[in-house]
Amino acid sequence: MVKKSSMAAAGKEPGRAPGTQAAIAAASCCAKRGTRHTSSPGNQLSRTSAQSRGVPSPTPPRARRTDVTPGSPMAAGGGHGRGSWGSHGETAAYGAEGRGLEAPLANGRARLNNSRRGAVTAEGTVCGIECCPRRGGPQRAMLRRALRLGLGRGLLGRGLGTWRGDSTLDWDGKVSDIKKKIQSVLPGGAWNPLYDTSHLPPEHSDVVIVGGGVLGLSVAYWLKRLEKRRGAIQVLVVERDYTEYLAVVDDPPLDLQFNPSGYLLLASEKGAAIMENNVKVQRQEGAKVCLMSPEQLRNKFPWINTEGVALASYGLEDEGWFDPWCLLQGLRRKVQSMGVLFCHGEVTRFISSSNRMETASGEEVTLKRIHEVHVKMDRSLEYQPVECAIVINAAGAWSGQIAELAGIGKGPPGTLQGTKLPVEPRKRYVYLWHCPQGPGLETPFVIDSSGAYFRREGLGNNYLGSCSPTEEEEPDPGNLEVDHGFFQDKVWPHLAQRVPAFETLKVRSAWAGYYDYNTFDQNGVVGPHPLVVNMYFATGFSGHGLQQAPAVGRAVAEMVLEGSFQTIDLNPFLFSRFYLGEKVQEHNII
Amino acid sequence: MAAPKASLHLVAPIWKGGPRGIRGLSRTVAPEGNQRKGRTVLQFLADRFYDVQALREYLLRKQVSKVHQKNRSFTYVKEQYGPYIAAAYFVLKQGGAVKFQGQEWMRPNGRGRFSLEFFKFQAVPVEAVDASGCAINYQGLDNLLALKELQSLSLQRCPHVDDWCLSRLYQLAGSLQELSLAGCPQVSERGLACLHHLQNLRRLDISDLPAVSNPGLTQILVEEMLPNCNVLGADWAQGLKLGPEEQSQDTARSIPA
Repeated sequence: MVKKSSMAAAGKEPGRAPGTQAAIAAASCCAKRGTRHTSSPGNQLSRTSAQSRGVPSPTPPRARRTDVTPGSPMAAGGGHGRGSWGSHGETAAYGAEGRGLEAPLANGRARLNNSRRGAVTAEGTVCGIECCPRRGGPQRAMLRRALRLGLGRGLLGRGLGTWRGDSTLDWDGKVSDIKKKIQSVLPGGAWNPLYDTSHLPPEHSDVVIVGGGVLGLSVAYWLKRLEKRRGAIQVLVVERDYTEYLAVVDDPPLDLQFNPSGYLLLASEKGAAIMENNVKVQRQEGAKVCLMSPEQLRNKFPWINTEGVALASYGLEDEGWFDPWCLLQGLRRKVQSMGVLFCHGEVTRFISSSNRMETASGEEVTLKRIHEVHVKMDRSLEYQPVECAIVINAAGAWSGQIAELAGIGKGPPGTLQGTKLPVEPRKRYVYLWHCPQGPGLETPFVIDSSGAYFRREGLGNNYLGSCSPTEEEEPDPGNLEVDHGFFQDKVWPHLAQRVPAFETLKVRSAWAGYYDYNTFDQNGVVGPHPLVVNMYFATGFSGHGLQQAPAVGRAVAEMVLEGSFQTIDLNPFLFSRFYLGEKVQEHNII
Repeated sequence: MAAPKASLHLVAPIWKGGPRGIRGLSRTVAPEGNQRKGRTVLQFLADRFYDVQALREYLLRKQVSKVHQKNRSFTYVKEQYGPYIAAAYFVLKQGGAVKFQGQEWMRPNGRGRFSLEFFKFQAVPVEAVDASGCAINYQGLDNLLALKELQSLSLQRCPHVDDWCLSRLYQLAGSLQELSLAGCPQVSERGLACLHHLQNLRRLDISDLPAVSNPGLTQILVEEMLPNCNVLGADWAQGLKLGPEEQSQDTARSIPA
């Protein structure tokens, strides 16, 4: 039997948020002791804990970077090792969680060393020397006390106030806390004697995926699925913003809430030829699509007003919409069960090295290689440099910023070094409304020739829809505020014209989101960057990323593992097309 | 598409406690309580030993491939004898019953054997298929969709028939008059929305669908969607609370069999 390490058995890997129990316990412990968590940068906290431990001031684990040999490319990192020490001191001020967790360890040890008073036994009564005079001399009492320390659960016992047998102490939390600590001490655990680093990402990872959305998780899934040996590749997914429940093992099968009702695209006179062409391509690839005239459309869907419609294409089989959140959850669950590590943090810096090379024709080219990714923790200045071999940019609407961090686009315009990643966030609204006389259960996802679209949502005559604004009307992507005037002026007129029942409707709610809009040709960027050799892109799909995520994930995983696309050829979508000016225009962005 | 939860129960009685080996095999028929306990023991071991986890995954994969094998398409039979014979062979092999036009119902006997005398009915279309309880899935439906004169299809209690399968049924729209989906655990109201293509349908049974979130409302919407069809299913007032004087009226409005 091959035993799993305790980390794998616990399911879970560094990067989990520390148990709040421990944090609360720590905070209260320290509060009682009178230390402050919000100390000024000056390592007051570490000094206090050093005092209680009786060991000299510890060097933080990150400062080990200075030990690296100067010749290596890490020399650049060595310089900032000191910097990390400085920032580490600062985090003592802000990272209450990060520092607070080591306090119970320190305090616990301190208490073991010092004499205890008011150790609470399992029965809940105290057994100090004072209340048990029958028990014999002080040595016996001390022996008893020591035994109770070992057998009882009072390792993290608080001060004198608890010796009345208060049941407000959280025994279950304490027990699981201690179990966790013992597990981490045993071989295979991630015990760091100086600090608790369970909330930080690991120090090394083969592949770092920036962005934990559907594309990032898809790449992670395929990397784990296509690796040659089980556990061959360590993958870390860094996601800046997710508030959700982490997966549970042995789950019921994934239910995507797929509605196979199909898409209905309507075309006016001028779009009819393009639509026929598109349908031809779709049929070649095996899609079951049918073309309908206005007459057939009226027979099938009597609630449509076919004025201005010349042709309609309707997907018959395996076409419809599903819940992207379910897909994300399912992917996250599966990918975690395959051993991918997660980290809640933000990528703030790339440490890379450059090499000057000459091409065959004698031109000089500077190739860059990323060596470290700095992952900053949420709401803290603490960061962890993660050494990695490959970085995958799946950061969606913020991929442009990540690319800039890697130095892509820093050069004279018109050259390859000066070509930026043309992906920027674009705000889009979605509105949910109720219309009691609206179309029934058979309503497909209707996309009007004007660009407005809607679909049925649930069983209660609710509908969801919107319209993409034109270039001139692009809203400001600085915030996610919804403009209800946009619905009144730009969306509703088209909807009411196409479906007369929508003349009376009531908007129930609305929200906004970002498209990772590719300003060059609205199609995705896939594959490595020609100059930054170990950064791979999987972004820029301008609203179509969800449907293309599984395929793109596989393509990028194959590119990483094999060096070229195997199953599907995505060479037209490489980064170099921005420099060469070869557009692969996507027309059907809704 | 993942295997339904029911299939995992099959794994537990066979492999309770990996290291105990053969002794565990003897307990193949375990009552419900033991099954659940067996699963947690297996889960416990699978969490700690890579071997047990790999074995568990292998057994699960084997179950899935068994269903896959049952639903392979009989291209040879189709080419040699035509689509009707291929469909009939497929259904009989799965354990269902088939009725040719002008003939009696044919079904396999208790041991799964059936006579091959229907091979002479090459030109006779299949009129009705009863695939209740069969392990027919999305791929297997291929064999049935070629039956252009099929009038009655029963997919009651099929564990692998789901919304995706329903979206393929539009190909039978020309002839299908009777469809039964009662008791299918994976069919939800989203799949029922695809049935609006079946305009010739006269009888539709959608009772006892556990995955439908709101059976009463769904029935109303399906009735609106298919005006010429008699929809059997949940009583539409099921979700409503009746006053005491209305209770007696309710019994009069019973569901036709």
